[in-house]
Amino acid sequence: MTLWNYIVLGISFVLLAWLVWEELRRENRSRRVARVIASVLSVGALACLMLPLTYMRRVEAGVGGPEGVLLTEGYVPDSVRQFLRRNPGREVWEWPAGAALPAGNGKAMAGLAKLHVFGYGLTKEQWAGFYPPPVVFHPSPEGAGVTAADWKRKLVVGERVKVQGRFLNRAAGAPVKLVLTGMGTTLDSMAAGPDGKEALSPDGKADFELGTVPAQVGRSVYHLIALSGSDTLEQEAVPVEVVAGKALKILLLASSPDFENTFLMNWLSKNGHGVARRTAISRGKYDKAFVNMPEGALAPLSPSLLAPFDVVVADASALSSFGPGELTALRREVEEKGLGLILKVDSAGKGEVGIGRSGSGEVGAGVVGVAMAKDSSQRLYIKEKPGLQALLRDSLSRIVVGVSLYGAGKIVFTTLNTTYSQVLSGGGKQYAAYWSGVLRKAAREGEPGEEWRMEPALPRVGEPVRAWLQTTGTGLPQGYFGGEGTGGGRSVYLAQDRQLPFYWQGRYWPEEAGWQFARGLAGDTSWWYAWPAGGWGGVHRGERSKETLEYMAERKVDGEEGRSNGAGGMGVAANGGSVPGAELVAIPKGWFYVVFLLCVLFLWAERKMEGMNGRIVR
Amino acid sequence: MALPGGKNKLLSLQKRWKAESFAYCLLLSLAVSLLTTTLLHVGWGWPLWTGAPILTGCYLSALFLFPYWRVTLAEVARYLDKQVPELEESCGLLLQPAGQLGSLEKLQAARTEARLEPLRAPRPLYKKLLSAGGWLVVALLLSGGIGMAGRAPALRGGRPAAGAVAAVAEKPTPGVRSVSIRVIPPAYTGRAVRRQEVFNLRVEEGGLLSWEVQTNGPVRSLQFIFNDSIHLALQAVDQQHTLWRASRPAVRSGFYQVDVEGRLSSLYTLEVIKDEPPRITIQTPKPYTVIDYGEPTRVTLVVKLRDDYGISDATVVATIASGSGEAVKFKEQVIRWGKAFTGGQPAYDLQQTMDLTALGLKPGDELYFYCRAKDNHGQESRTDMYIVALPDTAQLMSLQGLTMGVDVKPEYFRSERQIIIETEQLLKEKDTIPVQEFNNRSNDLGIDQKLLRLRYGKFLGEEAEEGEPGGGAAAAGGDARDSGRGAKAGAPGRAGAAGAGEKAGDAGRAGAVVKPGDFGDAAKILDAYTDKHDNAEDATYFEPAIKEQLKATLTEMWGAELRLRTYKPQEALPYAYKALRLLKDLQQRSRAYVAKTGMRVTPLDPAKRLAGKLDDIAPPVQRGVAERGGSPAPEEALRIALALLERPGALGMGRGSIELLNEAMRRLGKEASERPGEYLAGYQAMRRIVEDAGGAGAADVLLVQRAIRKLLPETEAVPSAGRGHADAGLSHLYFSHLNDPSGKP
Repeated sequence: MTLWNYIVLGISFVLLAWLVWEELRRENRSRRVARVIASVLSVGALACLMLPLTYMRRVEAGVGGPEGVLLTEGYVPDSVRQFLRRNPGREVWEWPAGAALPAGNGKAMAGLAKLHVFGYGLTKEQWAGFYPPPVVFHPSPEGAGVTAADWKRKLVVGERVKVQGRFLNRAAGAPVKLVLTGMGTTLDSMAAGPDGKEALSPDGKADFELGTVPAQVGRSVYHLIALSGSDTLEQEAVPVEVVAGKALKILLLASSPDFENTFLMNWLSKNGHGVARRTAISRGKYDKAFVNMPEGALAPLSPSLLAPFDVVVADASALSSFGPGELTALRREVEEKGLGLILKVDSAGKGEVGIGRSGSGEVGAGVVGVAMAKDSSQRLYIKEKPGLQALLRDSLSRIVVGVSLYGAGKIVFTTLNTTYSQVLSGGGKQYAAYWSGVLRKAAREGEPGEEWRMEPALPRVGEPVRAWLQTTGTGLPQGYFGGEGTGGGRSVYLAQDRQLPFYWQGRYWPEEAGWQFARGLAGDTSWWYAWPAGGWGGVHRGERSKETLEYMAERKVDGEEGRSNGAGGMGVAANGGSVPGAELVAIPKGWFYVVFLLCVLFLWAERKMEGMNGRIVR
Repeated sequence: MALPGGKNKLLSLQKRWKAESFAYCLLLSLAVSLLTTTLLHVGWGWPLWTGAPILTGCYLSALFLFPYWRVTLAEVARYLDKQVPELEESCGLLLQPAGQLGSLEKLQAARTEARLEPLRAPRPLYKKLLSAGGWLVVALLLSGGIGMAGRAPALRGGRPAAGAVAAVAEKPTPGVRSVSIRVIPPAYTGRAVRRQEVFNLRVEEGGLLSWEVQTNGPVRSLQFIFNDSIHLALQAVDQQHTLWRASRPAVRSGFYQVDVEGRLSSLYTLEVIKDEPPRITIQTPKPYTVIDYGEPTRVTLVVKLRDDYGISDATVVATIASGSGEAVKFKEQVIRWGKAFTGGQPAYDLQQTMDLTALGLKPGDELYFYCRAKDNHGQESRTDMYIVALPDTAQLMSLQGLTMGVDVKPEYFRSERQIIIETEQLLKEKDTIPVQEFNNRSNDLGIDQKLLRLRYGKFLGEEAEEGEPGGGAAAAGGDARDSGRGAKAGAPGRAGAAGAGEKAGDAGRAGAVVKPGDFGDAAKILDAYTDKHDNAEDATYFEPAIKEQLKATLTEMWGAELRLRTYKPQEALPYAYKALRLLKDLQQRSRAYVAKTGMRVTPLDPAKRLAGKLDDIAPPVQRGVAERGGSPAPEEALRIALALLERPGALGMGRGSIELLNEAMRRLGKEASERPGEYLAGYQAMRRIVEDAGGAGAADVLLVQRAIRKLLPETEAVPSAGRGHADAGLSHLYFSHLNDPSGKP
């Protein structure tokens, strides 16, 4: 029931109560019962006018021509038998999963007036190729198991893989454990049963999230296993690719020497990043340091100086000591080229820090400045501001680290100026996590390359995969696909998208399960995974049902299903298949309007009559 | 006429009866005392010699309880009469003097004697003896069981018997029929020599291993390869070259392989159990103990000593530091436990009371001590330093701290000191003044203490007298009430006193209000009626830690006040001293200055400072090269190998991958030689995979992955940049349109 329904009902009840109360209070008691009834009826009719009232109607057989039954994977034999008993004389076809529809069947079905589909339905691709007569869908109930799952396939070293999804536990009362295994060990586990801590909704659904930080670099396959006691209910492959991240080039600008920058520089250079540091030590004199990068001038900041860097880390006072030219260069680099800027806010600031432009000149604090405040114990925090995303909050949920977009780049504001103390107290991991997070957030995006995306998200062997390529390359529209073990590959020719010219689309049928490569003409190999035929069965079943309904909706919109009245087959989906072979019909509003009109008319006329009576009496 | 033969027979029977009854009692008491002694020994640790007195006691009570030994001849005769019908109930005749018998009786006696002569003497206590024997057997079994059960936990406390190598089914070694390894554990373990028939070894450090290998047939050479590097050739003992021997001490953990004429076996673990140094746990006292005035100057030391084999020595080393400033003197002495350490026992629970006065500790001195223990392998360990301080109450009286002029609160400190001085004075004069006066003065001191406490309560924002005129009145009112209560000799509790104070406060306020001059002065009226307790300034006046201590001080003051009011000044003194010490601490604390950590250096203003010419000064430049100290390359190789292993055709992928896997194998081998128990299985599986012996399967991959993953430290997050999306400049165009309202592209 939607909010609208509640509102309508609530208002109606208030109205009804008031009307009835008025009627009861009326001095003239003649025709009181009739008036009350008329009031009730009128309010009821008014409510019905506004409420979307529908009723289920059995689909009547043989409306105009022969009908057929198509059985797809997962159909319930009992309901089919029941249906056939009620509607005898239907011809029955079966379309097993993973197989093609026998030739000639399609032609035979094309002549039907209506096709009843049992089971989980067909994929969009299958529907598109099949082009059947109008369809009435009788979906099977959702099967137990993992019904939805997703995770990030491509990770950077040190990033956590999070497998999230939903598990449907049909056997109520049976405890189910979901386990993520890999590298010969159990990496994470969760109870998805009634005794688990996770809330299991009444229909047996449990959302799960399992995660680990992969230890390997490269491609490997984890496994998601659903266990009930010692029985394995389901086992699915969870492929993950871990790639070494690209090293960053970072420029540190400081107004005075401090530990924070020294520690940061050491840590970054230890991890292979290029770091340059410029520390003001006197007027016009800077202490320069370069690690993992060639030496160069750092003195006046200029576009050419800033161009190779991905991130600039500066403290607020360093920023305020810049000349206008330097500030402009920095601002333009952030705004137009997407350079990341991390601003360390300290108590020396005047309440607002940032970079920006106001009117003609550069200002230290301006368009993208943040306001700071101090609490009673002199702790600095950043005031909330629209457009500022909080990355870290303190225990009082005030922003300590925030990021905001500025043009093509990002500016991170942080009040944490002594993070090195974490390293000293043995919290190296926290230090790494903090700076990795902040730098990842701020870093300038790398040069776009070829980007492959597969549809469906969990492709399976023998099923068509739609491959999307996003690239700026303007070579031959050709991709090269293949399985890892096969050695060879196949060329796939791609079609350009009509509206967005940087999208290319092709279709491919993976031949064997496992890692697959996709390579454009630029030569970058991108890896994806194809599951064996039965992989992620629950997810695929759900998707097929959804796609069937979507297909039916599309056809209805196109007006091809001329005779389907009301919601057609769609209503079935809304009820999850509890009433097979039925359809939802809206009650015409006209009747309620008539009732309402009559009642109101009566009430009005009665009043008039009473008035006349009174006059007559008088 | 008495016939000596018959009587003799009866006498011998009686003797035998007595002997058997003694034996019966002995058996019974043995059974009972055995069980009792075992229980006491196992349960409460009584020594075994206590069994002797217990046995004696049991025997005596058994003799008393079962007095079969008191049997008389008449009873014997009666017994015989009853048991043997042939005697025709005439045994009694034999006991009577011959002269008293009638002729018929004589005849009968002769007849009886004749019948008695050949009679096989019955054994009256035979059954009882049997049952007692049975009881003894039961007791033996029971005490044996208890003894075993009692020893089991003692063993569990130490290490499990080292000989119990996990009897994993070893694969048969090619060419070897059987092996027998004799393990001689080192003397310090006190373990017996043992023998095992499997190659996998778990030996105490320093143990001697002697292998005896029986081959299937004659072989030319047989050797062990330790950790893939050290070769140990075995010597043939017999002529057929089928029995080979070698021996070697167990020094390092690792693995070894049997090489029979070039045929290599799988790897076997050789795990060496290191002797651990003794563990010492001091249960009492706490690391820092202060013994306040009035408390007994004794410290109970409760120490637990644990070792894996045995403790040979343990002592407490105590150092007394006396004096202050530069004149501190140290005196070290070793305190021995009142117990001899034999070296055989792995666990000791020791307890000793240190009398500080006996040790020579004077007020103001501190005692530093630590415990040390030595095990029978010569390893020694010691605890941290523990400190017992005996504060000098005289020091508290000194005014030295006050002359330094740092934020002092003279009146308060002087007051507490004054109260102590006066209390001591009062105690001194106790014998010379009447009881009433003594009580009154004690009560007065209690009132002083109360006032002092109220003053401190103000710092904490406690509800008490606030505001100037009201405060004075309240104090006076409080005093009046209090002295009244004191005269009633009630014992005012905390609540009572507080209530009194509050009421007095109300009275004071009322007094302030009725002052005619104040009429119409809204602020004053409000002031009088507003409850301003715990206002913001008070609440943040002190840091929480200081408040905490101030509260503790108030509690001590309460204690002192209570005793003073109940005329027990002697008992009040410890509380007063403690309060004074806490106050002193507070005073010291207000003096301490701790710089804020993470303080930022004030940035230089170049416009004002350093205005000299700097043109000729070249700015310093530091250079560094990529040295990835934190995550060295071998670790990355392991990480890549971890993923490579999963690929079925990994080995056909190229030289680079094979090298990576070899590198990973080398690392695993190194680890396996150090910790064979954890890494040997993985190393073996890795060898199967790399050498592709054919036996490598999915299970091997998992084994190796698990081992490598255990080797790797947890992955740390590293910063990296994301990749942009190819959009042919679309989003940039959009952004520039947004920025430029005129709409020009």
